[in-house]
Amino acid sequence: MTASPAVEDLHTALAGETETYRELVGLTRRERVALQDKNLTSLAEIVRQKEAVLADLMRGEHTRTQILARLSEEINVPASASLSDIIAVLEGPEAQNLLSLRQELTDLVEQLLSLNHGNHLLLQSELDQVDATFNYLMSSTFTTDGAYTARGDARPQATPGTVLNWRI
Amino acid sequence: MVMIDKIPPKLPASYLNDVIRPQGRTEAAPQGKARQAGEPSAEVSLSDDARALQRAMEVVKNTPDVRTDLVQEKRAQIEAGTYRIDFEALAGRLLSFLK
Repeated sequence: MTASPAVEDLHTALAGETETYRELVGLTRRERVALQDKNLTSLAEIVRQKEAVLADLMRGEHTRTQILARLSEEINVPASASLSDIIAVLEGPEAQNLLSLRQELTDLVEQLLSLNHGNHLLLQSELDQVDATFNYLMSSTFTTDGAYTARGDARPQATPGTVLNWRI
Repeated sequence: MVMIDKIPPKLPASYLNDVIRPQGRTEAAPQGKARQAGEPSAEVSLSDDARALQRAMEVVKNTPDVRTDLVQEKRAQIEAGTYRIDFEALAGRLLSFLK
């Protein structure tokens, strides 16, 4: 089968998506470090960058869908065809290039999903720890001193320093 | 020796301070200083609650300042399911295509 412009465009689009996913994997690794360091400022910046990359990915997906629509007419495959279906009807270097690109992209996406899942668990754990520490300190700090206000409410300690100034 | 067998969690802190700093005890004595004859012993044994509080204080001391606004933002994203679902949905569709 002769080279199709749509196949070349598909290759270009997938190569672009590969680079975007590579960038995303890098950001997600940095996100892991920020989470482990409990660096929320860095985390916020990384998430902002990830959101920008997400927009690139959405554009990439849109472009790929348009190319597949053209490709289905050019090489007579359904628009819903998978890359394997497309590769199956191609020959030579076109097929080989797409095969290697497919492997690289698959590895990156699986790596990203794994990293993202781990980061999600880590973030959830950190938030739970913040909650637990905060609640514990609040319950310890705002004890009453045994006195009551004129309205009969238990009077809290005059300052939160009750616990925070505590020395052993 | 002053023994604190059990400190209730809601014990008034004034009492806690009195017990932990027995009368006559000042700030931590220089290490290595031998106690003089006749000097009152001020050793303290901490209960589990006091130890837990001590650990909590150490955690706070060693934890960087927390930006509560950022914490709430991340929590909202997690609860809304948008923190990772966007990527997963895109990645999932791409994987389907690549198979």
